[in-house]
Amino acid sequence: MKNTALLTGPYDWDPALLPLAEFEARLAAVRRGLAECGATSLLVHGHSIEHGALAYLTGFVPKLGPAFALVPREGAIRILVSGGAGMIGSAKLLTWVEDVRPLGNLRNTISEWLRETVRDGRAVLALGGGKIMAQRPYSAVASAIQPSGKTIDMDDRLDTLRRRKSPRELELLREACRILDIACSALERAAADGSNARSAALAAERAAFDAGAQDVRILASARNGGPPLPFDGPSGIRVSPLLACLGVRFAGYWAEGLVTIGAPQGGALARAESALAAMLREARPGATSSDLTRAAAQHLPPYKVHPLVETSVGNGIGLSFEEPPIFGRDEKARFEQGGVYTLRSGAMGEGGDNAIVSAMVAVTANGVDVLWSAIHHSVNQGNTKGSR
Amino acid sequence: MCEHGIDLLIACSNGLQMPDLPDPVVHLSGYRSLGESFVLLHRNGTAKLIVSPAADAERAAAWGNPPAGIATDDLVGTLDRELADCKTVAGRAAIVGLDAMPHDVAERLLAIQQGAMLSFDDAFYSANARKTSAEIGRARRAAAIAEQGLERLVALARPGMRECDLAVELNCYTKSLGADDNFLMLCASPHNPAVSPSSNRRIEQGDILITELTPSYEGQFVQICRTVAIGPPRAEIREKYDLVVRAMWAGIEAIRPGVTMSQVCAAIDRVLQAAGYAEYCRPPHMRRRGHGLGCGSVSPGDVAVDNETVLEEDMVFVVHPNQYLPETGYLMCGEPVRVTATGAETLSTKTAALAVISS
Repeated sequence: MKNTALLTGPYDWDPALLPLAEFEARLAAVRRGLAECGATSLLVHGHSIEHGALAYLTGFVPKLGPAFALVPREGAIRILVSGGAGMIGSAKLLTWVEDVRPLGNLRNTISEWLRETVRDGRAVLALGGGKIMAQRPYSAVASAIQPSGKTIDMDDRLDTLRRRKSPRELELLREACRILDIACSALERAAADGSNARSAALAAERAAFDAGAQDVRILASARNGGPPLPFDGPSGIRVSPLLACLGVRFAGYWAEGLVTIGAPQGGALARAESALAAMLREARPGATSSDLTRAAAQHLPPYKVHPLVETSVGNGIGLSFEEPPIFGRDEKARFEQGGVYTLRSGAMGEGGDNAIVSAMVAVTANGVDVLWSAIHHSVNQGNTKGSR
Repeated sequence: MCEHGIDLLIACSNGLQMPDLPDPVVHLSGYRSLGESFVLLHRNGTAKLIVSPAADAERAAAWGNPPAGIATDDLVGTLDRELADCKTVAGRAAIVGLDAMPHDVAERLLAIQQGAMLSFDDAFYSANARKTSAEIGRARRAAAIAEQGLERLVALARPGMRECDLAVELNCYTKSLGADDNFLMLCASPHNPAVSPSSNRRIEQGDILITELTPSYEGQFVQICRTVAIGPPRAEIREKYDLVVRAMWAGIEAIRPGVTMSQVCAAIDRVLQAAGYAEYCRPPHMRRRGHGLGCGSVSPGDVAVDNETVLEEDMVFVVHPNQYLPETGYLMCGEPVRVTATGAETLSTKTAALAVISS
């Protein structure tokens, strides 16, 4: 999805949406994990592009440069944020954590904190969000820990904790899906009314914000049936079929939607929808990546798999737009009860006869609860509004 | 590259295009990637673009003449294979933009040449510090969008409105005018300690709203900085705002080819120092008085006391005194400028003046 220079939507922590008790439960689970792997403390990193692990523990969303949560085995958490001291008041609004400070010299700050919190001087610092940390801050962290300690990777443990969504998280994901639905409807209406791809996308974006979205990202075709792309310039081209990928975030949680608007009757769209429906029938606890791709593949010929879904037919979704597992890339990936996933299918035919669709699902004990599906949105040419 | 004996330059981008941070891939190729990306530039002038994710294949394939773009989900593996095909002598490859890359990618990059890669960041941007006529044209368009955004802000901002809702509205509006992104800082308070990203706070009568409107047009960011009083301002606010605007103009009037950025900064500081605010011309109250505008190259860098970059014609940057004063809080004024043969041209048409919203 396209990155944006600065996040501007409503990001302040709202205890009515995510109460402190939710974070306390997460923190307790993480601290149990720290004890199990022998870590003395945890450093969780995030930046404006990817901050799922940081937001999971603290609610904090970094808007300017990297941010770090310093989590001792016991005691208060501290957050270090990019920007000057004058910005701390604004940064504090983003989190339940009370101790929020400017990043300053990262190496010195972490060294000092380790001295304060690790009693015997042998620090084992677990890293969350470490894989996405840029080279410069990583070098600073490594150099802070090097004299007497070591780092261990905590990402897999954090991913496991984040995978099963709580009832409260599921509510927020449902709301994100409701807003996604509004955005898709606005996109359809604008396209049906003759808007070009860029104007239609802007109409969808505005509708989503009006409905309470925190963030909206949209890619759309730049030619008839072309893959969803960012808008590189002020293109005024009307496109049909219009393939679009929408990302809508509410209270930190993402919903994804792939839709195809204006596709020819009986062509790629019908195949893509059949393939998605087959995947939805297959989805249940324990179903694997291979089960999904096999089910989808039966419905696509003579169409080919759309390149957009060639390497991934779905993934976990939540505080990050793409969370493990990645279905298609990892053959052993399995659905887990309590997980929320986005599933995608796509068919590619001749010329512009291409289509992509997706669904958001929550996995239950016996199957899936479909939170949102493009099958109600992707529109064939000649269909009239209200006929779906 | 010839001067440094470099056969191959690897330019890296983390896919986050910002107004005041350089992006070497955009600078070399004009390509704004969705994820991390590289440009491989060989000494003989041939170049290859490698971008992520694989889903961006259509844009990547169309890049270059002849086309030489690849989209992949395995960025470093693809780079590894590309480098295996070229006979680069260890120690004669250079890299730029490494520090901003995810460290696992950075480590794998360094391992490709057994760590024998020259860091080329300092030399890289000085070679092309001036904006091209196309970039200046985009900057003018972006400046016009920023000014229209300000008009919209003045029309919409009212007590009771949340900062974030106003910021979102301005983002949507500037996109409808052709902007592809906007680094939009906006906050309001009776006494702002600094400018911050917008919060959920509701604007109140008596607030001073400060904003950096920074739209990008076809990848070129431009910034204007403005201050808006919500309701009639105190006389002191007007007086201090006039001071900050005078300081800004002192800086702009100092601009000409051959002058350093530090001299521009000093011209601004002198006005504020003469008014008794010398201690507020240093951190933590002030870090810089403006900066270059990307994405791509952000030459000539910051308007700062330690920047000895010498100005050249067609450099573009923003001059913004943006000053915290104890009586008023943070006040913002700033204009994007182009260095001309004899001085500076402001790219904005209506320059900073204290705006007042009377509800």
